[in-house]
Formats: sequence, C-alpha cells, structure tokens
Amino acid sequence: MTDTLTRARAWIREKVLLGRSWREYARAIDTNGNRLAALVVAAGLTVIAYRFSGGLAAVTNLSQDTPWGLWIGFDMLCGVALAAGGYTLASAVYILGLERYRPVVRPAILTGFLGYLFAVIGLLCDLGQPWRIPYPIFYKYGVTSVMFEVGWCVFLYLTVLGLEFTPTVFEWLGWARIGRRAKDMTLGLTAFGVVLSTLHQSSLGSLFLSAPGKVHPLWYSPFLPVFFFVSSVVAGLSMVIVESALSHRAFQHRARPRPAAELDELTIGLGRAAALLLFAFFFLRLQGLAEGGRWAELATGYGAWYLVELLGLVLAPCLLFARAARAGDAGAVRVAAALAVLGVVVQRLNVSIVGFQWNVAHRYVPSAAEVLVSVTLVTLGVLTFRWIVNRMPVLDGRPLPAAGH
Amino acid sequence: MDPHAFVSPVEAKAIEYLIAVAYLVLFVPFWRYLDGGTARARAAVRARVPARPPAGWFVVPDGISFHPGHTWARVDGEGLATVGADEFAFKLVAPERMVLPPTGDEVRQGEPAWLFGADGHDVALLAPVSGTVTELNTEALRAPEAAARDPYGRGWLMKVRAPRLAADRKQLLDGPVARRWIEAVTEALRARAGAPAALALEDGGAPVDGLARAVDGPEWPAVAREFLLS
Amino acid sequence: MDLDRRTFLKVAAVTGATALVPRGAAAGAAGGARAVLVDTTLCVGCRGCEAACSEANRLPEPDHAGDPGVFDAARTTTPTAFTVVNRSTAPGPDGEPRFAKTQCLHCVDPGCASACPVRALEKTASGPVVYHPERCIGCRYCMVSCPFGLPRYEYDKVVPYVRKCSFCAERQEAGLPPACVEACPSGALVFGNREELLEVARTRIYTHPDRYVHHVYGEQEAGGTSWLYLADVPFEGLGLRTDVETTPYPARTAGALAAVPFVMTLWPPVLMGLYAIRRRGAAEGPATPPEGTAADAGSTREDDHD
Repeated sequence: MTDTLTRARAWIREKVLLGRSWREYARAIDTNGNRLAALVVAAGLTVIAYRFSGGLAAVTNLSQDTPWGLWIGFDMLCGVALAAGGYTLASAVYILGLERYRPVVRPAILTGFLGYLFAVIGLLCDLGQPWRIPYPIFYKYGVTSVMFEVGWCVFLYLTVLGLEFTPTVFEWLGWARIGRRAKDMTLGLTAFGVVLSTLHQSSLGSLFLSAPGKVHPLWYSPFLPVFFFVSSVVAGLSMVIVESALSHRAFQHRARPRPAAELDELTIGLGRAAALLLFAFFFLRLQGLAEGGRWAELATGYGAWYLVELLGLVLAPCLLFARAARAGDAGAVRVAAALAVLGVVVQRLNVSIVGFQWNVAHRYVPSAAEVLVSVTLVTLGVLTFRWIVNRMPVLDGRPLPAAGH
Repeated sequence: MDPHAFVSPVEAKAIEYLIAVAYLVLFVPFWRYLDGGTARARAAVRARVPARPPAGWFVVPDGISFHPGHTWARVDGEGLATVGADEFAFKLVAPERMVLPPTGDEVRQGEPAWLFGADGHDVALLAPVSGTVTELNTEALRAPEAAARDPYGRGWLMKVRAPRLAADRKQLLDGPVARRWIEAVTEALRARAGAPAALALEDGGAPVDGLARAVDGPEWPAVAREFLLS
Repeated sequence: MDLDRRTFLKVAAVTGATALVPRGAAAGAAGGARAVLVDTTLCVGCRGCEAACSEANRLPEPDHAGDPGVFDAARTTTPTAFTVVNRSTAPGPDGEPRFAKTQCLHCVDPGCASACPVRALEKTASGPVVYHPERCIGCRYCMVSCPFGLPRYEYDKVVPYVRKCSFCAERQEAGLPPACVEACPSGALVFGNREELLEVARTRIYTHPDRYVHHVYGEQEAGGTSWLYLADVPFEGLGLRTDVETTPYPARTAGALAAVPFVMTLWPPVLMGLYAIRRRGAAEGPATPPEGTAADAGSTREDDHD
C-alpha cells in the first residue's frame, strides 16, 4: 500500500513536476509572465461565469441584427483555420512522404488539437444552451444545415486529432506496446483527417453563403468555401513556421539538439509551399471579385479595407515568401508567415464581423468582456501547449524503441 | 445598390476568363522563380548556419554546458540541473553498462561521479556540477545504447539539485568556446598513433562506437581516462 | 371550401375582393399551404393584431398600448413582441398614412429551417415555420440565415430560446385562423390558401390598377412567403425588406452541401493513390525499402522535394 503510494508520488514527481517537489515546482513557475497569464485567466473565467449566470446579454454586445460576434468570428473561425497545420503537415509527411518535415508534425498536431479544443470551448460560451451541444450528433439531425455538417466534422476531427496525438502520450507514459498499436493507425487517421478538414474548413465559409444580403458584397462570394479551404492550408503552413520558430527558442531544452540549419531549411520549404498557395489564393480572390462584379465598391471605405487585406495580407506575404525562399532567408520567411497568419485572421473577421450586417444602423463592436474571453482562451491554449511540450516528447518526435531494445 | 441593376453576364464572364489567363501566364514565371532558387536557397542556409558545426561529427547544442571531462549540464530552473555524458564520451567508450550514484548522494564538480563500463573495464566520469542527486534516468540505465543515440535529450543521466549552480557554470564551456574545445579534442584524438580507419572521418562518416577500443585496442581504458580526465 | 376556384374568382372580380372574403374566416384554407394576405391599403393602424398576438402567445402587453405616438419611430419585433405595426414613411395617395404589420413571413422554403442543425425550426406542409424549443442548442444560425432577420433571441435569459411568430400553428391545427387575423377589424388581413390568396391579390391589382403598386410582396421574395402584402406606397417604406432575392435561400448552401458526399468519396482514393505511388517510388529507387508500418514507410526518400 505504502509502496503504491510512494510509486505514485515518484510518478507525479517525475512526470508532472519535472523532477521537483511541489514547493520547488511552485517556486519555479512563479514568474512575471505566469503571473500575468494567471491574472488574465482569472479575469476571463470570471467573465465566463458571469455569462452563464446572467445570460449572453450580460457580457456580450450581440444583438438581434448580429447574432454572431467575436466568439464565433475569432475563436471558432480563426481558431479552426489556424489549427489547420495538423492535417496539412500530417498529410505531407505520412501520405506524401516528405520525411524532412517530420520534426514539425507532432507540434502541428498538438497545435491543431488545442486549436480545435479551445475553439469548441469558445463555442460553448457562445451557444445559448451549450449543454445541448451533443444534440446534432446524437439526437436530431438537421442534415440540410451547413452547421450540422460543421458540427459533425469538428466532432470527428477533434477525435481524430486526439487519436493522432495518443502515440506521444503513450511514449510519455512509457506504454510502448499500445503506443505502437496507436501508431499503426496513423495513415488511416491522416487520410480521414484530410477528408474531414476539407469538408469543415470549407464549410465554415459555406456558413455565410446563406446570408448574401448581410455579408458585404466585396466579401460575399459563392466561392467562400473554396476561399476558406485554400486559406486554411496557408494558415496551417504559416502557423507551423511561426510556431516552430517560437518553440525552437522557448523550448530549446526539450528539443533534440538539432542544427539551426535544419529548421531553417524546413522553414524555407514550407515558405515555398505557402508562396505557391497564396499566389493561387490571390487570383482566386480576384475571381471572386469579378464574379460579384462590384468593382465600384472598391472606391468606398470598405473597398480600401478590402484592398489592404488583398494586397497587404495576401499578395505581399506571397511575394515575400517567394523572395525569401529563393534567397534562403528563413528570417524573412517567418515574417511572411506572421503576415499571412494575420491575413487569414483578418479575412475571417471581415466575413464574419467587419463586413457582416455592414448596412445596419447599430454595428456590432465586441465588448471588452468578449475580447477578454478570447484572450483568455488563447492564453489557456498557449499554457496547455507549454505544459504538454515540457513533459511529452512533442518536439523531439522520435519513433518508439522497437521491441528488441 | 439596386438589386435589379443590369450586370452584363458577358462582361463579367470575360473578366473572369481574363483573370484566369493572366494567372496562368504569370504562374509560369512565378513557378520558375520559386523553383529555380531551390539549390541556391539551400546553399544560402547552409552557408549561414553550417549544417554540421566545425567540430566535425560532434554537435554542440545550445543550452548545454560542457565539463572538459566530457560531461554536460543543463539548467532546468533555479538550482536544478540535468547532467549527462556528451556524445564524445559515449562514442569513446560505447558503454555496455552505467553505474550511477543513488539518489540522495552528493556529487562534486570535477570529481568522479559515475562509471561507464565496457569490456569488463570501468571508466569514471566527472560530475559537471556539485549537488545532490535527485533523480536517475532509469530508461537510460536500462538501455545505454539508446541513450548514446541522444546524449543531450533522452540520454540524460541524472537530475541534480545544485545549490551553487551559477558558480559551477563558470567552470563549464558552452557555445563557441565549447565548439573550439571539442574541435581541439577531436584533433588530439585524430593525432594519436593508430587512429586510422576509425577516424578517417573528414568525409562526414559518423564516428564508430567504441572509438577508444578502435584506436588503442586493449589499452583503451587508459586512453578513455586520458580524454575523460579521470 | 365549397366554392370552387372559378366561381370564387368570378365573384371576387364582380364584387371587389375587399368585401368578399369574410373577416377571420379560413377562406380557401381547405387544402394546400395556408397564407395571409395583408392589404395595407385597408389597415387603420389599430394594433389589434399586436394585442391579440400577445394574448395568444402569452406575451406581455404591447408597448405603448393605445398611444398613437408609438408610430413616430420604426419598431422591430422583439423576443416579447412577435408582430409590430409600423406607419409608412410616405403617406398614401390620399394623404393618409399607411400601416403594415411585420412578423415572421413563413417562407415557402425557409432559410432558417434549412440552417438549423437540430431541426428546431421546421417548415410544416400547411405553411407555418414552427419552433421546437426543446431541441434548440442556441447556435443562432437561423438568425444569420433569415433573409428578413426576423428570429429573435433571448440574450438576457440564462436559458435562452429563439422567439418568433409561429403563425399560430396550434390554432390552425384546431381549425382556427391566426389570432391576429381573427382580431383584425378592418379586413386588412385575410387568411386562406396561398394559391388562392395570390389570385385574390392579383385580382385586386387588376381591378384597381391605379390604387395598388403592381407587385404582390411575398409572391417571389425569398422564393415566396406565406405572408403576402399589397400596398399603394413603396414596400420599403412599410418596413418590408426589398433587398431580398427571389430564389429560395437554402439554394445558396445547397451547392456546397452537395459537394460533401463527393469529397468523402473522392479524397480517400486520391490520398491513398498518392501514398501508394510515393511508396512504390521509394521501393524502386535506390533508397532502402519502406518498412511495414505506415509511419515508418518510405522514410529515406527526400530527394524529390524541397
């Protein structure tokens, strides 16, 4: 009995506290950054508690005209788009066999999983009756609804991402046999993940197809699902570039020592792919503009903002990616990636908030409380990422030792 | 904003086709530009950050501080360090077993702290920092050859509570200094008589395991101790 | 309905439809989808429909009951007022103001119902778009998808629901007309079969071409609605949205949803084909052949891509 207790204590000490006692651990995490994060999270959780005790009106600026705000526009749409690195990188490595990108697959899948997880948590805050979230899955099937399809795909894909991440968890726990079994599913899970991602990444755009009179004509297009899908791949690649650079700096001690050149080469390869996609995306957006035929709108204030997005956050990162990739300048690729990520966020917000119900009298502007909840969810995502990376073999994604070892 | 305004479908479609054709025309130079730089980009990256540090085959990772006796320490936090043996030490001895001090034991910087054993001989390695052993890497103990493949990651050996970590680190080498040091050590090994095939490594071949044995045959423990300063 | 349609129309043409259809009666409502024809030229702005609606739906009394000043500002429906009467911005040809009630228009092919992931909103064969509160998860996609922006949400409730006119579906099942129609004293509201009411509306325009705007609002709007409007002033001045399309809104997303089975069918062979081609390439090339498991297969090939 005491033996079990001792072993449990040792396990917690080794696996959870990184080899320290509770007191040492508490002292180690008492940094200014963590204090700030704790403050943000505490305030955000308070707001969330307030939302559930006082209704959506207590904390949000949602109105009868604009039923969707920041929690859908940012947490859901951007969260899911920026989590697209999971399926992008997994298919590059496991299906196309681009082995050199293997070192970034695990962090990409973890980012994907957390991105979706916190997008769903944001959705739970936004739903009027979040306890009914399983209804579309288990109770009533609104098969004609884009939302129904999105719900199913996100539910299934979150499961797939969880399963894709299990080998890492099993390695951490030291369960070699079940870990290998989990790995055998990799190819199937990856292919299924690509199917699901194609469907729901595009469907997040399709959601707005049903509101032609409400989305500003510059952003409304029958091609919205295509735009959302293509830009999700751009977002995924760019996020992997940005995040691997940050991780390399922040989690140096967790990564297998690897020459910086390896990461640079990998970054440039991803940048080249992103350049190609952004080039196509830019022309696709022009097609959307031509299809709508609303060239005159370009002369308005919305038109100026549209051009900022299209030229400054689509074309500019595209050319910067290309130039930097050709020059072998990994630093500039990272700048382009940050710009591209911003571009995808801005595009999602333009469709869902800036250009949504653009012609009603009372425009929606998110309340401070809504912003705080979004910031809280991002903070929690980063903290969870750090917690896991500090413990599990994410950055040094090595294969499990074979049975003979 | 009149929804019934006349929009010529001919004109709209024509513009769409023009954009598509312009895209295809521009795609060719864009692709050539992007793809043409592949080799140059790789060369540029490699020139900026050498794929292999000058030391040849031994990587000197950032964040790792080396003791001249080929052990290393990494700071985990206030007063906590992870220690291990460096790649050179693993390659030199290719240990079949390792004997680590039990947790709670004290180790002192520069004094023998644990043993690498092979061929029935044991070679001591020096502690890179002083402190109390708080944890042993049982996985590495079980499979030294796996630890040897990742000496700075999963091949760590002990965690040490080191009260004078800052002072201890002043005695250790890191960054460019460590690189120059390991380069010199490699040169010294290469210069030894009877270091033939095993060290014909300029071509980039990986060093063989058990270098010391390869170089000096039965006399290897002496060679190993010489390099490990024990 | 005993009157056959031909006779009905003939009588309508002769007598002038306004006097024909008995007020509050379910004229022509025997078969097919029900509808209401609102002749705004007859509405006197008494707001009796608002009061009846509140009573029938157990809502609080309408705001400013009995206060004519209520028309000074345009109002919209709220979670506790499913119908509101507004005064037109421009007076009619006779100089008198015009009034129109607005409420859920009960589209023939409603965007809200097709948008609902749990079928909490459903179009019934007899006309009403009904709401099942026990299913609603509160995603509010119905509000996004309604071209008229009519579903209302109880943002201030801890357990909120979507609120809107139900077309008195329960009353209709019991054979009664909607409460508002029953309460209308001026004959501005007529309840009946949609096809027949369209004929009535057209007949009124034909017989009084100078009086009416030559358009039946709701015949084509959003693919057709169950509430039809006649007016002698511009419809937008009556608080009716004229910027809606004439195609049903569910058609907008139908194309994207139609792609779903195709993506599910075609992606797997494409992906596995790419995988197989790549693996074969690796096996035939100089590199070591791939191992058994998916994750390890073809692990040495990286020459062809940068």
